[in-house]
Amino acid sequence: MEKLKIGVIGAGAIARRGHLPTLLGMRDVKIVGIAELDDSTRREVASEFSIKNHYADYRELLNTESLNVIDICTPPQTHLEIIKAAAEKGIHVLVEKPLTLSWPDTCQIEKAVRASGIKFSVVQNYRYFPGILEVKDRIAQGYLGRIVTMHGLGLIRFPGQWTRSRWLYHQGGTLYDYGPHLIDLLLWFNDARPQKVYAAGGDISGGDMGFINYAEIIIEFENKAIATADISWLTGTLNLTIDIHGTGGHIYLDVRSDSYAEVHGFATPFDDLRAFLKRMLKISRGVFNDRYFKGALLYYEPLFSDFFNAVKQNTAPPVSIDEAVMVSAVLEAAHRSITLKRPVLMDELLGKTE
Amino acid sequence: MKSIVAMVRADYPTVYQDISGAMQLAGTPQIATGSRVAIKINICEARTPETGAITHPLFLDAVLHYLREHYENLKVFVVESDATVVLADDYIKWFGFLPVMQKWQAEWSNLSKQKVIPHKINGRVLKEVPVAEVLEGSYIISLSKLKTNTLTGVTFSLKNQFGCLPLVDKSIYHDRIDDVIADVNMVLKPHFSFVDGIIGMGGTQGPALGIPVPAKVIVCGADPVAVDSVCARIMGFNPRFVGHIRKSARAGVGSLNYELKGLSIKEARINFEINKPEMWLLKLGGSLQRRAQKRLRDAWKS
Repeated sequence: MEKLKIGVIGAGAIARRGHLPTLLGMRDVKIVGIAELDDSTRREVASEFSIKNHYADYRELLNTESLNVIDICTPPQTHLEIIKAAAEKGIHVLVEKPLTLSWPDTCQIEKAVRASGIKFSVVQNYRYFPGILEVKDRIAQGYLGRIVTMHGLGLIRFPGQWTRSRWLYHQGGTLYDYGPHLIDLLLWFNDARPQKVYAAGGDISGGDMGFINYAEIIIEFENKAIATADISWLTGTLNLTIDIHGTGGHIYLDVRSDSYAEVHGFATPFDDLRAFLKRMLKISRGVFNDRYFKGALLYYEPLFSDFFNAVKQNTAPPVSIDEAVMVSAVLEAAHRSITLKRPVLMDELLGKTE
Repeated sequence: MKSIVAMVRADYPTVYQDISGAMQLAGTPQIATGSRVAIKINICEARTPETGAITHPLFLDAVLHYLREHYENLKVFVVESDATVVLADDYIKWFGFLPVMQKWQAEWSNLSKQKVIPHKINGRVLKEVPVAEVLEGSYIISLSKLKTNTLTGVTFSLKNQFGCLPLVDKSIYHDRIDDVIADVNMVLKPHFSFVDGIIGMGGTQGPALGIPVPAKVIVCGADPVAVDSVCARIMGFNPRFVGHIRKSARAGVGSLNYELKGLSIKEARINFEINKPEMWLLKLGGSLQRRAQKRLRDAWKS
């Protein structure tokens, strides 16, 4: 079968560390061109990844090359314009998270994607951690009964190492860093529509930073489940964990070590021991086979592969536009709730596009 | 002759009086009227001051207060550079340094955005040290922290001067960090060093992510090697076995022999919760992680 022709837009840290090497390693795709504004970065990356055609303007890439898919690795403020341009040409879109930093942008993207019928997916690569896939499967099969509450913790250091880009320091701050991963997982696990979002938090410096650097979000779902998301840049730790309590059992998921513990009824010493041994075994194996150190970098490949299969076979993409919009909506609702100091009903957000 | 180092008990509410007391013991520095003074603070990452990771703005406030009180017409600059995890211009706004500078008429200078003047040296690694213009001919005061460091074991005033290098990606020197610190100090040795140990940092993940330790001391003196030797001892390290301190002494930056005034090492000692084998393993782990990710990318590329 003919290889899919991919154009990559943006040659920053996420493209260089994650997307480009992954795409190069895939047999059924070919990177036919790259677009990047910065001249020296563009040349350097094109040479590093042996990409012959490189452009300063993404429109030139879209107009010149015959593309099946574009992979967008630019800052989120640029996503709307690029997605609209691709949708008009019928080019399928893979886009890095966060989808946007603004609700009107999200609504316009949704409209453009639906009108064009292109395949579209946000890169939620965390869904592909084996431990997370297993947890999703356990929930789907009913081992936890009905989900009652979920508690997510998304703590990460201030951005700096991965990206020196300043886009993260917009008003939403930390909400848009680990937030899209954590909220996506909470919504994916529960698989019900959020109804109401209440959030507290803000700027711990009292305004010197000018963006949200810690937040606690409460999401009420239409199936009566409740989720909390504790998100922060302030603690100097790296933690992505989710506690899921169902009527039939409890799962504690630690994404960093890609392990989870499942308990039903009262936790006995056997449960504690089993959880401890399972986690230790997972970590030890990960250290010895390198997977522990490679972390989320490993999970671009299965997501990209699912997306390309969806393009070729005209099936559903790995992360649907509905799911992508809902993650943006919850983040927007949390941001509004922090600003307005009151709960935000999802209907009041989803019912209008401002 | 032994270098004089002063050490006093201190706390942030009384830090001006504590610094004044320490200066009496250490000997007041001679700074000519109208001199340009560059105060090198330490901001290694976006951490708030109470974590012990960065110079506390109250400490800077007290030092600026002291300078304005005891000297005339000084042109004072507060300096720091950008690094892989440091956006210096932002962090001085976020963590409360700007109002302090405004209060004492000190100017902010990001060393990564200054014109540099190369200084030729016969260093172990560096043959040339790029010196930001603002440091050229300035009286340099180091305001470092009392911290552990995964790479160098400990970090005080000598390591703080490594942050005077204007280039952003300083990690290129991490493999030979001890030598590079000694080289930098051959050119940019601070004239006077304060180590803010009121809240220091222990544990195995310093200098940014360790455990805040309320050591409640200030260490200061004109010889950074001697000052750092005292600090190392407080944290349970023999300075002769700390690479960058030993190498700086050999390079003639200062002396390992000191006369300590004020608190004794024994009085100042506090548990910094340091686990040396774990620190070494973490250093190894960091290196394994970098290699594993590089191998993965290379495998995909090929």
